[in-house]
Amino acid sequence: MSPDGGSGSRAPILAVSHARKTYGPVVALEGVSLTVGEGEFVTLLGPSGSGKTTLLKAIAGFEEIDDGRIELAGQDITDMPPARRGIGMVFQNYALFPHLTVARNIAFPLEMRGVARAEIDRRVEEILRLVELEGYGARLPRQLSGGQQQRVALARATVFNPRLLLLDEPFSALDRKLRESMQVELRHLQQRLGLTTVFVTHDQEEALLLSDRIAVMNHGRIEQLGHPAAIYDHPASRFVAGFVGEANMLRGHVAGSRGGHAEVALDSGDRLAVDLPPAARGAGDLQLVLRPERIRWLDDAAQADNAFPAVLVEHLYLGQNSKYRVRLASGLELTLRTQGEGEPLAAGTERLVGWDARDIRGVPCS
Amino acid sequence: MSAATIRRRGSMGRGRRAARIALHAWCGLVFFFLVLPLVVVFPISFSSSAYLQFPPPGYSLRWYREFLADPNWVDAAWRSVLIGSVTAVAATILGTLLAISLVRGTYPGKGAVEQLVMAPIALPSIVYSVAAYQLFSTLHLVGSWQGVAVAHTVHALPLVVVVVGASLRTIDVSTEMAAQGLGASWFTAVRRITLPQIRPALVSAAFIAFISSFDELVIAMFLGGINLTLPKKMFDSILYEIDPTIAAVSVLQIALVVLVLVVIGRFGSGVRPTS
Amino acid sequence: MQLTAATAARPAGRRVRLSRAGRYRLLYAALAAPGVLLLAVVFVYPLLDLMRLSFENGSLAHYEEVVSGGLFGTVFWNTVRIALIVTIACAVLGYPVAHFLATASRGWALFGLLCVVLPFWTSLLVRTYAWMILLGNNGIINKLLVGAGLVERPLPLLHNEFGVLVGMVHVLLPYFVFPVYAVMLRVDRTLMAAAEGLGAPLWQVLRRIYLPLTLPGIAAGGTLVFILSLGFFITPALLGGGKVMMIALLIEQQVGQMLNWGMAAAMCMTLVAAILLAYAAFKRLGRRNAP
Repeated sequence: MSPDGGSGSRAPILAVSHARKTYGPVVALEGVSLTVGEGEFVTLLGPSGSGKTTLLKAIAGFEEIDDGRIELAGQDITDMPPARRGIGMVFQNYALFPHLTVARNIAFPLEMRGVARAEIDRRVEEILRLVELEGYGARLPRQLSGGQQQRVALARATVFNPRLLLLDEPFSALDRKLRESMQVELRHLQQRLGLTTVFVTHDQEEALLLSDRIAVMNHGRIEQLGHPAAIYDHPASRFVAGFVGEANMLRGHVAGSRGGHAEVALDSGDRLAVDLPPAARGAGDLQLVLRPERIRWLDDAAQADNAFPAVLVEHLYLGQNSKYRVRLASGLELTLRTQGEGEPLAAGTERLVGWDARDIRGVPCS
Repeated sequence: MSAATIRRRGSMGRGRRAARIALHAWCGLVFFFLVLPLVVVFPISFSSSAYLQFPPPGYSLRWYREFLADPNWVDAAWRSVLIGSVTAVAATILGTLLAISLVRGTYPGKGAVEQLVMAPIALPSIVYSVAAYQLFSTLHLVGSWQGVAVAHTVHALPLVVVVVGASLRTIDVSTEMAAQGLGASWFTAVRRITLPQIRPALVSAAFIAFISSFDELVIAMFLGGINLTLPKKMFDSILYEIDPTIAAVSVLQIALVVLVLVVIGRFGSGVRPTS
Repeated sequence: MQLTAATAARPAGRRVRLSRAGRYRLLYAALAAPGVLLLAVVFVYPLLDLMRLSFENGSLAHYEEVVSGGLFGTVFWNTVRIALIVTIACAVLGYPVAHFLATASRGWALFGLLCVVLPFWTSLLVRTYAWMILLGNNGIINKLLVGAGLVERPLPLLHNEFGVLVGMVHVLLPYFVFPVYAVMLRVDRTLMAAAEGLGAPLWQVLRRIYLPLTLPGIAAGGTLVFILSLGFFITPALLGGGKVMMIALLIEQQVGQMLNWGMAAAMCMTLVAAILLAYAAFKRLGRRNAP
């Protein structure tokens, strides 16, 4: 596996290289490169203004890049008008044609391709069945619920077997419950049709759930590109660590070694055993990421590589899990997350907390 | 709830109620004032008298027959319908192109174009008529219905741009984008996706352009020469030969407007964009 | 080898790409071209020609004549005075109506809108004619008044300034009501409820909150009515019976009877200047008092 979890054995369908786009003084894309393999589901994840939507629109052809190159199935499409790219796109607000019925909406791309009437009818029927909207063909979009409209948009974007499917925050308008079921449906449909997909979202949970690979974007750059697990467990930067999942951010420097691990002295004064790659051992300042679910309550200091007495500051009950804020003797505050209801602890309770050396990750200092 | 609050609400309610009654009475008077002239022409148009008498001594259709039998009236009416139709078509086409250009386009000089297009609204017809007369006489357009139609198109253009532009702003631009992404050329996307969505506005705009021409007197008076339009014929007959024919014409004209409003309601109530 | 080809292809590709954005700009500009061309030929050119005509031989002679003649000055100020009265009358009559339309129940609002829209769509000549039937010495109103014994002789309602004012207000009232109505629809009702909840009397709520919030509509409607009033022709011509002189009538006289195009042109230019001035003044007023 390559470090960026590259498209691997799959043939690349989409290749963006050094894409750059500015709006006056604002840099929207700063030399972005990305390849997407056949049948792959890649998510562009980032906060608003990170350039993820600009990149998506550049791929679709609605935005022109100032510099760089976009290839689709080996063909340079950088200067090709959107109509000729053969890319299906689902817009954030779906952009269904309000004056056309569901069937006519879905038939539109086929009509544009000169497909015969009978064939159009057959394929529209087929895709309606696939998105479980049989019998809705004669309705107008406004007569459908949000989730149904979304499925129509998806059907319209896939009915002509596009070489690439683009989705621009398609679930942002749906309520949580519907969103979760639509996410699963999308993944099934995508896998069933073998659709190469680029998905834009600012929701990290959604990204982790759906993607083969995630490109975390910030300030017009891809900060990290990789498999969801790699992004979560090995964040390449402080930004990625903070944006994808929760993280306790710690700073310190290597102060020696302890039992086969590196010993890191935190700025707070605490000393930790940390598994560091050999390359990082000599480095000066270190940025460390400690996921809240890696911290455990301990009965005995010997149960973990790192153990500290702590005072409970706050307990947040979140249903399936519980979140605690604890303060170490040094004054360092950490967030800790446990599965299940958790123990109802009163603020001020003293407990032992700890984690193993491999639970903590170093990211480049910035 | 305490007695004090109830009392206070009660007194406030009384003050408000008095204000409401005053408002409604005032509005009732204004509505009466607005509708009154339309109402009086109806009975007079069905009068059996040769003079303007109210209430009419008897009722008949003689003034409608008079209107239909007089080739001067019928010619004028047809000429006005012709000019109005040409104006409606020309102004709607040119105005829609302008509206698309102004709403969707970004190009240098757009602000100037917008001001130019809106200018005819504020210019009195009398000024425009005097100005256009010179040019139109050079072009031998004075006295022709075509000349009047051209001038009426200029006056109707801003009305079309306002109506169509407002509608264009309410529809979702991404539908046009989506169409292009799905394989449509820009032209096809506009024709099949954008224009159908603003169809009610196009119908309204054409109607407004038609009425603005059909009802226009000053320009037609200056540029129409001896070819009388309906308003000019009505103007002359009001000035010189007051008889109930004009009331019959008025009723027919009101009927025409109502008819077209109904047609608009029929076609205009089509699809509205989803919000 | 491949790399060189790609690098070589890039500048060329870039040129095409830049022109794609430019093409759209050009396309949208081109859509405006037919309309702009028409306006340039049959609107802008004639107006410039009229301006040239008013300065015939490069002199201000026509303007001097316009000013020194006295008649134009009298008619001009008379027109401005009538336009002001009409504007104020439209505001007084129309403001409560707009409020009614914006706040009444669906059915009543529809009825009210119909009362405003129907006359608006009706031929100006039809309405003017109807007012002649209503206001004449043997008209409906005078017959009713005399018949009821309220007056001995018919009141002079037609062929004077009163008749002209009635006709003009009737024509222009919708032009005031629509913009005010549009603004009122957007006013946040909770603001007024909040002010009343704080104990402000109705009059204070109206003066301190509603009026300032709806002022942009009043300014827009007022501007429209005033500017349209300045150029009125048909109503004064028919309801004034030759006794009420307004600028448009004077211009028509210069052309139709005197064949004095130069004078007419100068008068036209003065009227246009007055309209532009009024527009600018109202715009400033609206902006300064906008909330």
